[in-house]
Amino acid sequence: MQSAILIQGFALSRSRSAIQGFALSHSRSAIQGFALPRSRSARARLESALGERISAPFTDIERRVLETVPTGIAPLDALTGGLPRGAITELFGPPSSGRTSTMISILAEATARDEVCALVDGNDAFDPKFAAAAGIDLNRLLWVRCRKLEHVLKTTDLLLQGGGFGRVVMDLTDLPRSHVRSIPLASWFRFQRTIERTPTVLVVMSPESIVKSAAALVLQMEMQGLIVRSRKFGVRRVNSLFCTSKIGNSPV
Amino acid sequence: MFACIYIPNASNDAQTALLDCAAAFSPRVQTVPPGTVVFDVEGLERLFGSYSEIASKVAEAVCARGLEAHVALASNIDAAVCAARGFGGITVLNRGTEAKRLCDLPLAVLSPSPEILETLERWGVRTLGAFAKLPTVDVSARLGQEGVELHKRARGAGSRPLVSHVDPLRFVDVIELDYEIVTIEPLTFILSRMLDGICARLRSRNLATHEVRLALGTYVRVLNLPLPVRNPKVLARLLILDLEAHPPGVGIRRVEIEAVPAKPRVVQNGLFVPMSPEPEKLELTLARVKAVVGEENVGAAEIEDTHRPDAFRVKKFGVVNESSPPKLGGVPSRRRGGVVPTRNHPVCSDFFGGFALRRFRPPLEATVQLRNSTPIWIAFHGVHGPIGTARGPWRTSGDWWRPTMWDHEEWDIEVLDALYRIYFDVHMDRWYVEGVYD
Repeated sequence: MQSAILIQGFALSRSRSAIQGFALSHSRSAIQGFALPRSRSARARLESALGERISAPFTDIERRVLETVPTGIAPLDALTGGLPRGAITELFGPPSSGRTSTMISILAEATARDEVCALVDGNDAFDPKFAAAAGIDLNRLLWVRCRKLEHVLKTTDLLLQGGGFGRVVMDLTDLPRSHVRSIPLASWFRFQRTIERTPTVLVVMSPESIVKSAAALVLQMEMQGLIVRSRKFGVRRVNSLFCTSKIGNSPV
Repeated sequence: MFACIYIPNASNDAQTALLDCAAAFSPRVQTVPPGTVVFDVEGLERLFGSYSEIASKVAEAVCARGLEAHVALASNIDAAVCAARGFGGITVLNRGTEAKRLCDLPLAVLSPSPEILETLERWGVRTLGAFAKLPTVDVSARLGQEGVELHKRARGAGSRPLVSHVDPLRFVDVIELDYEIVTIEPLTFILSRMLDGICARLRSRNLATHEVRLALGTYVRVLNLPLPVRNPKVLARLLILDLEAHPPGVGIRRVEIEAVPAKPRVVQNGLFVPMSPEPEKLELTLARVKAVVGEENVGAAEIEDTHRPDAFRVKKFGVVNESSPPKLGGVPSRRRGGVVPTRNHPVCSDFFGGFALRRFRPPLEATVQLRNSTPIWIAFHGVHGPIGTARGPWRTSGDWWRPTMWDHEEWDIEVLDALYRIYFDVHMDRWYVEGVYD
C-alpha cells in the first residue's frame, strides 16, 4: 500500500514516462507484489484515478534497443558496450580521476567520425591545445564557455532542441556542489525526453551523481579504477582504465 | 507564344510583384507599365502542360501574392496585351484566331494617343474589329505610322520582338512609420512582414540571401550568414536576436531591409553522411546561445601559432561539410614567439600517457614552500597540504619584446590525491596554479 501511495503521488506530479521510468528503475518487484489479489482493488482504484491522464500506468514502455557509439577507450567500450545514443551518460568522480580525459576521448572519437559535437563548459576549463593533441577536430566542436549554472542549463537546452549534434557534453565539474545539487531532477528527464528519439549522446560531467535514474549509463570514476552502472550490464567495476603514472615524465 | 499579366490600377509594389511572378516562369520578361507584364512561354509546355494549364498556373501564382490579375496567352505580344486588358480572368488565343477573338474589344485596349482615339471615334470606329476592317493604305494616309501600327495590332498581327527587362536585382523594402517605435517587440511584426515579401521575391527567382542589411533610421546592422538562406522566419528571428544583443537605443521611424541575393545552397544528402545540425537551425541556435552567454563565448576554438600558455582564439562556428583534415591538425606546424618545449613536456607527450588538463582561468594564486628549490607544501583556493610528489621545473618563456611576455617555471605536483600544474612566474615573483590534471 505504501508503494501505491508513493506511485500515485509521483504520477500526479510527473508524466507517464516519468512514472514508467520510476517503475523500471525502482519498483518492479513492488508493483508485482502490488498486483497480488490482496491489492488488486487498490490497483484498480489507482488505474481508474489515473485513467483520464494515463491509460495504462503499470504497463512497461516498449524497451528500445539503444544504438551505442564507442568512447575511444577500448577497455571502457568493452565494459559498457559504448555510449547509448538518445540517452544521457553521466560521468562523475573526484579531481584527477580521469573524467576530462574520458570526455576528450569521447569527443575525439566523435569528431573523427565527422560528427559535430558541442561542449557546454560550466567553468571555462577546457584546454583547446590538449584537446587538439588528443585528436579532437576543433572545427567540429562548438565550445560554449559559461560561468553560471543557469547559462549551462539554458545553453544545453537550446543545443538539444536545435538538434544535429552527435555528442553534447555538459561540464559541471568545477561548479559549486551546492549549485549542482540544486538542479531539479525534472531537468534531466526533460533533456532525456528531448534527445530520446535522436542520435545525440548527452554526456553530463559532474563532481557527484546528479542525473540519477534519468541516466542510461553512469560512469563513476575513481582514483583506483571505475565503476560502471548501466541498464544493460548492471554494475561493473574495473581497476585500471588509463595506463598512467601519477606524475608525467621527468624534465630533461 | 507569349503570356501577359495585367492588373488594372496597379501600384509600384504590384508591378514589382508581377515581375517576380513572371520571372518565376521565364527569364524573358518585358514590363509594359502600368500594371502589365509580358513574358515568353514558348517551350514551357513540357514543364507545365498545355497553354491553358500554363495560364492557370500563372493565375495561381499571381493569386498567391494576393493580387487579382487578368492573364492572356497569344502568339504575339500585342495580341496577348490586348486580350489581357480586354478580357477578365484567363484567356488563351490560339494562332490565327486573334483577329476574330479581339474584334469586339474597345479601342482603349490598344492605348492609342488621345488624338487618334478622338479621330477614330469621330469616324464611328469604336471596336478593334471595326478598326481592322479599314484599308491599311487609307489608315496610313490619314493617321500616319502610329495609325498603321495600331491597325496592325487591331488585326492581331503584331510582330514586335520581346525586349527583356534588365533591372539590377535589388531586394529592398522600406516602411515609413507613423510614430516612433522604441522597443524591439513591435518591430518583430514589421520585420516579419517585410521579410516575407523579400523572401517571396527571392524564391520566385530561385535565389537566397547571405547578407541582410537592416537600417533603422541611421542605425544600421548587417547580418552575415555563412550560407544562403531564404526562410523569412529564420531571418526575422536572427535579426531580432541581433537587435536584442545590439539595441538601436533610439526611436525608430523608418525601417529598411535589403537582402543581397546569392545562389541558394544545393546539397544532396547521402545515406551515410554523418549527422550535423541543419545550417539554418544552427545559425538560429547559435544566435540564441550568444544571447545567453555572450557572443565572445560561443564558437570554435582556434589555437594561436605561439608557445604562450593557453593561447587560443574563439572563431565563428560553422558546419564543415568537407571531410575532416588529418588529426592533430590543431597543433601549429610552425611555432614562433617562444622557447620550443622539451620533448617530455606534457603538452607534447602522448595524450594517454598523461591526463588532460583542466585550466583555471585566470590562474589561481598560490602559496608554496620550497625545500632545495622543490615545492613541498602548497595552499590555494581552499586546498592546502604537503606535496606528495613534484616533478619539474619545465621552463618556458617568450614574447620578451611584448607586454604579453611570459617566463614560467612549471611543476607537476600531487596534493591530496589530485594532480595539479603549478608555475612560478619569474617576473611577478609569484606562484600560480594553472590547472588540474583530470
